[in-house]
Amino acid sequence: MRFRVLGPVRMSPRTPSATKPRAVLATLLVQFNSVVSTHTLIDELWSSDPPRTAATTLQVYVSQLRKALLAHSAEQPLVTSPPGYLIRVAPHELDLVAFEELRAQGREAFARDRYEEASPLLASALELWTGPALSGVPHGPVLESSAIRLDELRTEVLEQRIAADLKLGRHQELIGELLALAHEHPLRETLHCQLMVALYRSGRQSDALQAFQRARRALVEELGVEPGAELTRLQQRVLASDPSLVWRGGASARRAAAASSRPAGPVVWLPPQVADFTGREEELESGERLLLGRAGVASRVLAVSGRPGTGKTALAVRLAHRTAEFFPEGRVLLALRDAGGPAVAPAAAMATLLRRLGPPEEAGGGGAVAVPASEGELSDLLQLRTRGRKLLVVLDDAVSEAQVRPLLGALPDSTVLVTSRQALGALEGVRHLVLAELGQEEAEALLVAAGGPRMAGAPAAVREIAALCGRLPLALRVAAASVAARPHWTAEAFAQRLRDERTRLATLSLGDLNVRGSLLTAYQEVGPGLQRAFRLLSLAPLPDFPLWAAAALLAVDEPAAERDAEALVRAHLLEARRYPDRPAAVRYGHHSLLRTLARELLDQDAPEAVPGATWRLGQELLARARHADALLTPGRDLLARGTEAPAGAGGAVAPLAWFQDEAGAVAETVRRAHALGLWEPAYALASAVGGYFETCALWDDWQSSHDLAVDAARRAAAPHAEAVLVRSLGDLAWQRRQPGRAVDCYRLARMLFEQCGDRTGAARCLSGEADAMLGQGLAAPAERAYAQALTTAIEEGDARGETEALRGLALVSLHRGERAQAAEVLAQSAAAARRLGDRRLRSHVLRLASRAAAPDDQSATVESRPGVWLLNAPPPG
Amino acid sequence: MGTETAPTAPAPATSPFLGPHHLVHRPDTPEAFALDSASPVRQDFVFAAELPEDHPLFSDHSAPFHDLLFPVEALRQAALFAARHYFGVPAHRRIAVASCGVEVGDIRPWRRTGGAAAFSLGLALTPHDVVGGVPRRMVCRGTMAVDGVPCGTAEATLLFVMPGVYRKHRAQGRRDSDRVPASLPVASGAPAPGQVGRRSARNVVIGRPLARREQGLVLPVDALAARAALPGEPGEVPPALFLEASRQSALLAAAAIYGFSPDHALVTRWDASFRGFAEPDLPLACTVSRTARRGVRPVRDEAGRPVVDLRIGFVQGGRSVARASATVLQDC
Repeated sequence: MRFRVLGPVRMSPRTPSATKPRAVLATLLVQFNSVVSTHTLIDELWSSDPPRTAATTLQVYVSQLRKALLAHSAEQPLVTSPPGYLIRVAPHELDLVAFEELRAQGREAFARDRYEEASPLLASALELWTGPALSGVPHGPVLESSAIRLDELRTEVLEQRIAADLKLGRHQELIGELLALAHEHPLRETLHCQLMVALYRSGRQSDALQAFQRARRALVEELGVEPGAELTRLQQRVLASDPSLVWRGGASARRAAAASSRPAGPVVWLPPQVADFTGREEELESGERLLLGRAGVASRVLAVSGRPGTGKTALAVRLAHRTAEFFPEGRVLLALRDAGGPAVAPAAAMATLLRRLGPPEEAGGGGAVAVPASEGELSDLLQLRTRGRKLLVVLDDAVSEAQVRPLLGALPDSTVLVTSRQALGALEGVRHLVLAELGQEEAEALLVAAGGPRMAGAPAAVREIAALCGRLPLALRVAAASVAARPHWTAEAFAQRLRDERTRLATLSLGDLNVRGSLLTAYQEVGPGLQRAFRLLSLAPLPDFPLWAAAALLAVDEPAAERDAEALVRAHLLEARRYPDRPAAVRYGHHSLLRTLARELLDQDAPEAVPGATWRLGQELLARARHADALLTPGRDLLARGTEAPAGAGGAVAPLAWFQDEAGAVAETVRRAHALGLWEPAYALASAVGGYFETCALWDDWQSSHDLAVDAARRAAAPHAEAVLVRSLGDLAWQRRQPGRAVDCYRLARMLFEQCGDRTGAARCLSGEADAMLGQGLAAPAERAYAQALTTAIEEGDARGETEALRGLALVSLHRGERAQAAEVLAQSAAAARRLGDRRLRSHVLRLASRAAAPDDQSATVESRPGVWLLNAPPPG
Repeated sequence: MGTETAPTAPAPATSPFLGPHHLVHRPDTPEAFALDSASPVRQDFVFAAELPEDHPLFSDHSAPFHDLLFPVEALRQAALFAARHYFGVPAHRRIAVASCGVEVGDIRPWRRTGGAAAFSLGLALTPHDVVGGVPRRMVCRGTMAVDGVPCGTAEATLLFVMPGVYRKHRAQGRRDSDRVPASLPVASGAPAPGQVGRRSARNVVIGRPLARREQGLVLPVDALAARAALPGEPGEVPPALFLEASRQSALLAAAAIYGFSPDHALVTRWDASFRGFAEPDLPLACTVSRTARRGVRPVRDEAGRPVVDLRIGFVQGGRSVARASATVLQDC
């Protein structure tokens, strides 16, 4: 086993993914081979507010740790020892022990003036560090104090190693590192002293004095104090050109010089690869081609962008490891954001990079390198240090082009891999790789790899979890870790938790792995206008939406909506999807988790905007739906009589395709409008889409939308709308071959139409009732009803009613075998359909006419309405 | 015709057996919308009817469930009508069923309530092997709902066979059957209707077991009774015979082997593949045996009810004409 606390807390070969067990491990490790009491551990995990079940939960964490430890160890190292637990660690197993040993040896050598021994010992101690001490776990009192102590020890060792190097005459090599360190630790006077000495010994007295001034300014501005006695005295000595400051050399230095003449190895400053990195083979191959210039276009910079949580850093690190042989002089990762999220200034980034690149090599015994005092000078120094070297620099999590541009300028010979949440489109000479979510199979493989056997044993749940996580790698990892960390949870139960969209983001949170927080960072980086757009667009009723819907939701015109949508696309807060064969060739949509986030933010920040946006969208949809319906089933929607399509709605020239794209949006808007009490849009929209539902026999949507719409009409005291919708429900029941229910609906609707004085509507109900009767073999009453409906339709000038009534009369004739009579009436019906402009209805009537003309057709099959076949028709009754 | 092909289906596209029903074409292209015409590519339909409450066959059950024969027959008739009307399959082509299956997902909607129940079958019909615009094969997949509640799936693969080919295969099948003596031991009557889930003796299509083996039963199929009870064409074995005989023999075997009560048992899954044409005038035997699909003991469904899987074969002479598997649920 190997344990690491000098950086992120790790246990190899496998670290527990849950943070609380990791915190228990860290607390035991910093007091290894000593008993840590249960109370101390509880305080560490929950501070002053432990849950009632703290002791039991702690036992669970200990049990998880023991399981993980025992998997890789012959003997259980974590033992119970009243009043708590202790972890037995051999010296070689813990990096902290090795650090302490090297530090002690280095100090001892230093004390005996054996600087050539002290320097590498102390450097080796420093190499054990992989980041801030005890990072990646929440800190309670023990870990907090331990982290502070360890970081202080590290800085102390660093200062001592530099002191040893100065004693060895490596002042020129140290300048770059010291500049970076002085920038990183502006209040650390020892480092400033060492920088001044190095500069002075390199013949750069004025730079040494400027270094003093920078240090003084920092101390005064930050702390309001003047530099300490040692720094002030050193300034006086530099001013006085004190000869004792000059390096004299010595046996120790000569020994060291011999050692330093060995060629330096590659500079590698990369985090370890993600252990269960899964998929992305295509992106890795593409990235490798682009990085190595095999893609046909010469470019030394590759920008990888994608929304938070897509695994950009993991991919970049993997690429850096995969391409190691092509960058023999080093691969360095540099974070361009501080832990808290703000951007690192280019100068600070350069300083850090200089430090990571290590001390400068003397170029053939040439002169001293120029000392940087500004961004420009740092840039010059970086250029000098990287000139001609085969280096790969990963600039991770870049904030903007402005941040990256100076760094690219400072690294003209290096290959650079930039990761960013934004597509850095304004960078020149850059190849771009956009990282989307994983494919379904890759997502499922990641869940299984990271989630262990309980995931592997539940393929259906894994499939569902992958979909509910939107195949976003971060969300998948949290999901996998959540199941793995809780032995009492099953994958099925976790999938069930995720199903509720309102709590999905909360469910996808585990320790410091927080999907919501990660997604929120992208939202927080755009301005208030785009934040509003991001929130409002989540009200789109379908996962993707056309531009006109965005314009309606945002209450702007389409060009303005497009600007906002495209800006959100660049920020990876929205996706643009291209459908060349659909009425709206480009549609926009949120990633499913971002949509959840946007709805949360909308409910939280601007719930009052919801009814207005829904109303606007409803009105826009209504205008377009009525326009499409007028082409699909002209005259069917009696609520649309007398309305005209407003300007801009004329785009729906392919009504079937328009409804195929938007009927779901209409149905969902009916539901939402009804829920918000927007009665008129609810019933009007349902009526406008009814013709499409009837044409395509979409019974479930037809029924549910119309049930809500009838309720809306009743609540709005709109009897005419109620009549229209109830009649449509009669058509539904008729199509479903429920004649009794159909007749009930037609009769109720007819009564309501008559109350409203709408003779056209009432006559159509009569025709519908006759259809139902004829389908049951009741030809005589059906004939009477058709005749009555026909009279009214002619009187009212209702071509649709006339067509349908005439068709009914013809069907009665066919039913009785009166073919000539049927053919004559069908000709009249076809003429009425032509007047109506309904091609489908006319085509249907002509098919019936063709059958009437076929004397040998005796089958009990009839096309009662367009595309609706009555098979095994009952005999005449 | 290879071994993957099948027994017969009668020529007419519709029969009054199901009663009046609607078949609605769901257009998804402008030409289908405007002209109700269809290219030889997948077309969607929906079948609608009321499940019969007073039908001599479909309502004749000792268990309180609607009859699975109804959706299977609905699928067959709807598919035949669509094949002729929408895909242009000529009327003289003979229809063979290569495979057929039905599965009940949720048994609750299948329970008879005494009132009218609306049945719907959403159908996706995909033509294959299209020659001259006419398919030679059609894959049919359906989703069933009762009173709007989804409750199962049904599927079938149909072949549209030229009359000459059909006649050749009938003749070849008969010769193959004749090579092995086709006589069966004389059956000692039919089982009581209640033993096979029926109330009327008219609808019993199998005889008493001819043999009882360790793993199952061998039963004669009463083709004469089947022709009287089931829809079909003269000179052919009724297509519904295989499902009905499978169902009756499965209930009988579930009772004999596992102690199920036929009055409270139903077949919730049936899958069959057909390997030739059965001849109506030759003795047809049915074998039903336990299978190790989910172990030889009954397993339990989510509600804790016992469920068993059975393997069924239909043999004429020495020739296998169909193989099927069925799942029987003990409702309790």
